[in-house]
Amino acid sequence: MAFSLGEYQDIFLEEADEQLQELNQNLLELEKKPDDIDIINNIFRAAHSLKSSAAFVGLNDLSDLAHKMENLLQGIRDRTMQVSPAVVDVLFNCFDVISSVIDTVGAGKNPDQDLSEIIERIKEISEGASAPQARPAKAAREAGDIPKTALSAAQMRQVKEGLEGGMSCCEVIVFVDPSAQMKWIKAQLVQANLEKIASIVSIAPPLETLQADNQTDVFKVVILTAASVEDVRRACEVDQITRIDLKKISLSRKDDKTVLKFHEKETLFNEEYGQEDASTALYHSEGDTDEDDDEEESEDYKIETIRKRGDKKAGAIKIVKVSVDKLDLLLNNVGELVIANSGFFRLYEEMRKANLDKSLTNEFKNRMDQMSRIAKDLQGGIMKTRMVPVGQVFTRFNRLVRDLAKEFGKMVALQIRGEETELDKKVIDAIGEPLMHLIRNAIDHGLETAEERRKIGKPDTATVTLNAYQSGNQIFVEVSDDGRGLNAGRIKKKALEKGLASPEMLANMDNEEIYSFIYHPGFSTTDVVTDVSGRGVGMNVVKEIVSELNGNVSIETEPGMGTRFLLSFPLTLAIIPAIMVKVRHELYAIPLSDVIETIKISFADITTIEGHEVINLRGEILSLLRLNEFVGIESGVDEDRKMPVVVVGYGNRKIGLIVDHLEGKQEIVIKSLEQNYATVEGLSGASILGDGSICLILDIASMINRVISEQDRLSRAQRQRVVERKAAGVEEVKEIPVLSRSAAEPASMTASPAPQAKEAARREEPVKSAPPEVGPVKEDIVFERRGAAPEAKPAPGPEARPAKPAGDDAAIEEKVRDVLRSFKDELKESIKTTVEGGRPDGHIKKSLGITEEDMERVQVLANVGITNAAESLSKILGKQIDLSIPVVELLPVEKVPETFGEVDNVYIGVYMPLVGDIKGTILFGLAEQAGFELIDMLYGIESGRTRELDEDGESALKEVTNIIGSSVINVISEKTTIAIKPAVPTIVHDFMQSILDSILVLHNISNDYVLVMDTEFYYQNDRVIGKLMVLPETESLKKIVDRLK
Amino acid sequence: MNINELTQMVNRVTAATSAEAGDTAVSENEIVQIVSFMLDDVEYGINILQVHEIIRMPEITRLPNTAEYIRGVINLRGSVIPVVDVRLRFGLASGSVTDLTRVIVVETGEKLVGLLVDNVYQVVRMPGRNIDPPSDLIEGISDEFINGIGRVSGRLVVILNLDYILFSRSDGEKTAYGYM
Repeated sequence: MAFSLGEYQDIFLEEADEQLQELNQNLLELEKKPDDIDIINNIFRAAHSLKSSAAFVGLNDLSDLAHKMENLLQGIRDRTMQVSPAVVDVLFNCFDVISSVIDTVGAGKNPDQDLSEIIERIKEISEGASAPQARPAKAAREAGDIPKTALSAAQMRQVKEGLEGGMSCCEVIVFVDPSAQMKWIKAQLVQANLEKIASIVSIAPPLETLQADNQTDVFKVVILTAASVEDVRRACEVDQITRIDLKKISLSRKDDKTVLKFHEKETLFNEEYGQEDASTALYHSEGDTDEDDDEEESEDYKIETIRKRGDKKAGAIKIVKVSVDKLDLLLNNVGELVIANSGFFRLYEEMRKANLDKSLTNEFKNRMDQMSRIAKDLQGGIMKTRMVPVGQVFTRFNRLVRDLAKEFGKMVALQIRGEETELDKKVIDAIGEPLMHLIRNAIDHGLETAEERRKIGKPDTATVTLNAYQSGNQIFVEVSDDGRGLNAGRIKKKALEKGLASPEMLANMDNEEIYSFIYHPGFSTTDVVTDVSGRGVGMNVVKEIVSELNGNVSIETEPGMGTRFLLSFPLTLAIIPAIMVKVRHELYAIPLSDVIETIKISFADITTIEGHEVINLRGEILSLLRLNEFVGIESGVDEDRKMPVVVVGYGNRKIGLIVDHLEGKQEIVIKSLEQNYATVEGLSGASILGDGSICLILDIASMINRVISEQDRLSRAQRQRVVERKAAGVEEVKEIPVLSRSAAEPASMTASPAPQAKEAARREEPVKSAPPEVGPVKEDIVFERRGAAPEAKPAPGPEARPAKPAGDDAAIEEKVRDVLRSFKDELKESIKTTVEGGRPDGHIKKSLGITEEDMERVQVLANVGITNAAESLSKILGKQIDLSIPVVELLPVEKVPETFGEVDNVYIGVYMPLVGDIKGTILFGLAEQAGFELIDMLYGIESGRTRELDEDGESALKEVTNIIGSSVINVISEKTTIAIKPAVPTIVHDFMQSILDSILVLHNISNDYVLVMDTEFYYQNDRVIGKLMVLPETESLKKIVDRLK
Repeated sequence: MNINELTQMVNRVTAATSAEAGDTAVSENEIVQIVSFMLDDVEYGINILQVHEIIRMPEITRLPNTAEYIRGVINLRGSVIPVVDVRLRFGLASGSVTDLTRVIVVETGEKLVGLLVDNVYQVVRMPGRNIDPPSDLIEGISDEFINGIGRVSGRLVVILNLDYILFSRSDGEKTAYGYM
């Protein structure tokens, strides 16, 4: 069963948390200004209320602790005690213990923390400090402190070595009778005695100090000894020593740091109370004696502080805590009020029509307007109540910075700015952890030690800055330090070690990308893992939490100058600014955070690539989605008007939403659709507007995903159509000779293959099995091919007709028919698998060791490269050039020509061999007529003038190919870091088959399959200019694929 | 099998049957109140315990990319609730909105759902024994919507099971994705 403190538990926890924060905050200030009585009073008051409320809910131990704390503070307030580091430390410790108790209770568990240790320490401190109570303040200053045991590095080493050598180490605290004269003599005696049985590591305060000041009556000796505790006691027990405490010290390893661990103190001797462990008794009696006075005083005191607080600006804000649920409920009610109010408006219209007393209706309207205004203010006000100033999170870190700075021996100042910036309560609640990680990282890794800083001319004290500000509809929270900055080199090294990236990848990354490795789980560049940071968990958590809140993290760093982490969050999670758009009469909201810009386009701006609409937005292809189609209604605007487009982005994708009207910006409250219905695709929720009507909120992420999948589907369909068309084309080629044959020999056979078909078959066969050194055979094929072509299509070409095979022997014919039939079946099968199964190249990928992911990467490469090429082309021509999405596929060698164009048409092929580390060819192929047109265009002469390919034309086409080819090469070269150089382009003006043959002949293609990246360029009017194909050799292809990994 | 085992078995079966009948199962003599409405001369009824309220035809915001029978969503005092066109849901011809058109807001599976009906006819009271299990008598609407048939002064009232009014039994996961 969960532990509970009853009905007041929540209130107590809330209050205690606040009081602790206040205590921490004030104590930090007190540390800086030890004499500020206001601060002391504040601490005192908070401790006192903590005591009362803990007692009220029955946490007596806690109340007890608070009471001891109060006593200590009482001493400070009375100036009988000094605010020494030891006192501050013990107080901070108290706060920590209290905080842990409160957390345990908050988690529903019974707090089982042992408070006796901390109570002991308070007692020790107050005893040590308040012993000289009667003395003047000045004297108390030196006397007050029991110096905290701080060992130098050398002493630490000594202790460590001693312990490792089997000695035991302990700290002996010796209390000298305050009335004793020449106390330092006692100390010296103790020292001398101890020296006989142990080696003394340190003695604090040093004897000299003791000698100079007779007020000090406590001193501590750290010794290394092989002797027993009893021996130590005897050694210390000299005249006028009232009490001897001993703390065993052992070394504990906290990760890689050696830490001294002080064990429980045991009192070896106490004059007053005998040798029994009397400390508790002592403590109790002390506690009891001044309790009563104490209560009384604090009552008076309360009044005083309240008045004081009232004067203070920061503390004056009175706060009522309300749960967010209640606020939401209230918000709903106000919404209702607004709606009810709109009913009055209708009533008013009725009244006006009814010709009632004019002054009465006017009065009615005035009141109505007033009410509506109030209702709206109320609505806005309640919305704003979710916003909380970020300062309350920021100030918590003062303590963390102080502790960490101490721990790491660095001097750090925390600067807080923009604490009044307001953030949504949800963000406030969640932001603490990421900030903590960032600050810890900054102090542990980011900042140098004072010495290091001095060496490089920085001020000793490093600064960590927390800043918050609003800009646009985003809130930015910044954690920056002036330390050494992120070390990109080390991050790279670590990324390599962890196998997160290859050297090539790293070489191509900009700094921003390299820094983002630190978000990777388990990534830490420090060699030393401390308990604070270096485990590589922190940054990952930061990223995750921030993303959960729809926020973002970015890093700015300057080596030697510091690092800045910038977290950005949407202004509020409940109320978001949105752009309202209309399709017909339906109103939709698009969250402003998803909106990049709004533009207006006319219908003519839209081009269609592979079945989906795009526009060219400043040189970038932007896919369009018609909102009316998405929501399934007719658009209300005619297409000759300019259409508003909202450009929205999610991740790194963006699309343009065509809407009917833009209705402006509005703040909306998100309501879920799931609560009473379900998730609806494309909608992230609904919002109730001021007039009570519902407006649906578009889910941009899902819309973009839908567009992407739609595009994929369309592209696939388009490709399938191409494949089908080609398949049909192949059949056609086959059938034509049959027909001509049957015309010549009417009776003989109906579907029998003709000699031409045989040739065709022969053509296919050798190419399919073409080994690299197929050169001469190919020429043969080309030759025959040319002969076959004119019959199928009367395209102009060289008149090199071969003699047709003469007499057809029936047996041969039969054989041919068989071969052809099986070939046809095979072809059909292959076409079928191509059409149905998508990719027939699966097996070949396997044999080349190319995976689907590799293909995707090549696809990306092709996309970038070819877009680049299209841009160059469009620049040369001064025209908008559209392009089809590059098709990247592994093709059987013999399929390459037909993929690329009409096999039997004459093309102008400009090919540019690739030399350097990648071998292959880039081919720019233009249908003859298109080539002529392009030449006209390039020379700026009237279209249709060029009729044949002359030298000028050739050089123009070569130049164009050079430019677009290079833009592709550049991209490939850049992304793969492989040096690729283009050779001089060559022109072949011939049938597509011949063009391709002359290229294939050049290359080492060790498989029957080649990888092609193939795209088509269009003018805006959809007229095809030409196609570009990149065809790497097998070895080079492997190289590219490897580099892309 | 001894007698004990047998009794246990009988008990189990009875428990299972009554659980199947759902929360609207009533004992023989208990008086049930049914809010009824007429669609094409058939009287349908909803147990009054499931009825949240009955409102006049409000302004409905169409919900794109959802099933046809989802007329849209309405604002019910700050809550966004879906409205099911009961005619379309039952596979009847769609009707027209008149002065009598009402939205019966019902609670089903912790969700509030509005049912758009041609009219609200009356509230009838009948003892539990007057309610028979669904039979083949009722043509047209799918039996996943029917809890039983009530007899009251010579009339029959089809008592509705609202569990599947938003999503069909076959929808499994309760999302609207399936309706694209």
